Amino acid sequence: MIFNQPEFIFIFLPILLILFFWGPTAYVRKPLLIAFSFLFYAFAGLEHAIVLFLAITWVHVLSRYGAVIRSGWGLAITIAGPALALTYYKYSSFLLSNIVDNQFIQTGGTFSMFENVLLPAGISFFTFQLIAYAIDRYRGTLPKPIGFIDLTLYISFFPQLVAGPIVRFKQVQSAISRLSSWRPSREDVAQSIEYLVFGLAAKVLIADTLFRYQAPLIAAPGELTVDGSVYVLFSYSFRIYFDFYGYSLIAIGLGRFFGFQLPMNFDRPYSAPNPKIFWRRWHITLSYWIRDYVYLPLGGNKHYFVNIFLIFALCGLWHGAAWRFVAWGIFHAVLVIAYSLTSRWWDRLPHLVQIALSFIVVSVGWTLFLFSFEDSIIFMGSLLSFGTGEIGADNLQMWAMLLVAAVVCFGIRIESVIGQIRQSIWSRSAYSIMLSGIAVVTLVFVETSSTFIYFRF
Amino acid sequence: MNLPTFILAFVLGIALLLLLQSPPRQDFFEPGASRGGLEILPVTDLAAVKFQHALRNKPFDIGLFGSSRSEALGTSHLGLSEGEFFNFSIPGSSIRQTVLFLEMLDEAGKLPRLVLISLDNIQFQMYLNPLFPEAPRRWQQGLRDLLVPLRGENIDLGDFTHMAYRHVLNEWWALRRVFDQAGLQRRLLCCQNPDLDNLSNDGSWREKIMRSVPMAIPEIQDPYILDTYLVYDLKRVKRLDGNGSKIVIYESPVHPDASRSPTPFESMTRLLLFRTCADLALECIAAPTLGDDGNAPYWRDSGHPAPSYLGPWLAEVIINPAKQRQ
Repeated sequence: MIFNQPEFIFIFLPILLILFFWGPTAYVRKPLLIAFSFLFYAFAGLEHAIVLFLAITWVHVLSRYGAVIRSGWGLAITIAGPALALTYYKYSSFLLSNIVDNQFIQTGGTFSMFENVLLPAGISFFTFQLIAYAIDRYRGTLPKPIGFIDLTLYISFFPQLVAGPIVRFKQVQSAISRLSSWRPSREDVAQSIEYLVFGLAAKVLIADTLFRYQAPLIAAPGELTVDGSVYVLFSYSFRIYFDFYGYSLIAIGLGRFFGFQLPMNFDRPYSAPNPKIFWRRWHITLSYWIRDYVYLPLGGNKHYFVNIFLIFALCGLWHGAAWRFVAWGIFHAVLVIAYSLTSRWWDRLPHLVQIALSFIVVSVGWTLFLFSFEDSIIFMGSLLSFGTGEIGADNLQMWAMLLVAAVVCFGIRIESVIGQIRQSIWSRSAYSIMLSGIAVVTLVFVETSSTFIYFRF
Repeated sequence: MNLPTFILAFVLGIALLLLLQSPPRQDFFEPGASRGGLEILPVTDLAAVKFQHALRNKPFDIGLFGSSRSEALGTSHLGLSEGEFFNFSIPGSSIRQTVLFLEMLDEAGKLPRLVLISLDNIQFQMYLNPLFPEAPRRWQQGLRDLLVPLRGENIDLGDFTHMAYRHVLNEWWALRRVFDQAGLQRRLLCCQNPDLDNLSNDGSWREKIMRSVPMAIPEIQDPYILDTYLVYDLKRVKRLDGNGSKIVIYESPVHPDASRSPTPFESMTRLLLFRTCADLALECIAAPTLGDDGNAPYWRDSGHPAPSYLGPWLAEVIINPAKQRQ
């Protein structure tokens, strides 16, 4: 199930909210949320829900005992469970095809055992949360083990289960402990709705509309004119942002209904003046996870260049089991290192130029997400006018949509709009009416909405 | 945000949406009326438009009710004159929609004097609950279906459960229709283009049926008719028969290639249909065998005979139903 599905909006969520806030269920709210979270997840396949349950159980059992979890071996075995599941589902085919002699593949050989393995949605997200929990137990950051119910709720909580934010247990600990007594204020409900409406609108009205315009262009990267290529380059950049940002806003809004303050995952990343700051603003919870659990243990800034390459390659691999994702990670490592070496000059450029250059290079990087290696090169050829392109972006509406996306992206910080205190009753009313208008229009387009890009990670 | 203002504005927004999504009110069937592009509307709108047309006129002499299999039959195919015949067929509708349609016309005193019901061949019969009319009349129908066992009707438990599920599903579709962007767009753009006027004044579609080459003969599947509810629906039809209106049900024909080996379920249901008709003294006519001679009369697919092919046979039915009965 996904957030932009009518079944979720009109059936799943209303039923859950009614049951959750119904008086007699106050003391079974944790099992209720867990049951609905697994139901939410099981819509993608029962097998996937079983994998999730087994991974949680494995980590819970092994991390329960201090003597086990505080030894290096104990930690390794605890992490091995979910990591092996991730490897099997996400990387097995990729690893084998790279390890085994290419001759085998070229002669038509396949790894039939792995051919039909379906990737459980969001496995990379919940695996990282489980690993974070095990490491926190190992380090003593979480001195006492948490109960099975609490751990299951922390990992499986449906708003963040499939595409983050990647939450640490400490960030939701208090929400879980006071769940049975949680009563949202009118302000909480209002803000939850605001996050939901803006998140859905970002996904349905902006990301999906851009997708509809760019789809025919993406299908033929070698036949694009320069304007068509430019359109694909920037529209995909905005699309992936509003797709993932929209998801994160919805997750935050849903979390607030149940008293969870999920962390922000974006902070206007395309307004970052350089690639280094971009990574502090894009998918923030993943960046911090990698910093805390990989970069710093590797020695942090002591081996800066090597570590940057390593963590960005890992970041790329986390996104997908293919060399192009690794290449995308290394591309960003090069950007960050290049910035570090040239920051003295870069930082003297006018601020707007810094933002524009950062946005352009980041957008170039996304082509590796969008196309295969070969198609990326072909697309870059079209972009640099080497191609004999015929398919252009000659529709005024598509450029208007791109402009709208750019204005919202660079000009509005939605979190500030939500948190803004409006003194006058007129401005409050006007804002509420505008928001309800956005909600109704979004609902009309929900039926045509596509799945979230980050679900495949 | 001001929560009460938001909720109020949201409710008003949904109400506006409902208004925009409601069926058009014009009479598209007046001679000379522009119907350009009416076919792009959801079929439930077509049902509403045809119903309104019946309300605005005196009862027709002959009314044809059915699905896409009868939608193209017009006065010229039946040898009738305009004004005495109207085609109430709605593409995609099943006998359930037809029966409700007839009951609504009867309540309004607009039931045609001769009612021809094209019952989809048992082989293809969909037997779905109607999305037309709008709530709360639709809910009333649902409630009646679920309470019918209490009235002494012999309804099978499996059929009852299935029917309850279908009504829930039907309401889910109805809700989704309110938020259907494509449907809304079609409504707002409807009837602007006179070049797309394919409807005749008698309610039939002009020759929009095109032959598919090669002719499609779908794999025969068990139809999902709920037998005990079929009997109940036939009883509803019987209640309308005789009070100034004569009702004739005919099973729409299928191409001979498609009907050679009926499934056991199909045979059983067909047997039940005709036995019930006989018990209720309803005029029911089995599908005729219409071959394909390869000339102008043709089949679009195995379930849709061309009107010029079906029309003469149906004209005979109108003159003497008993002669065609089997």
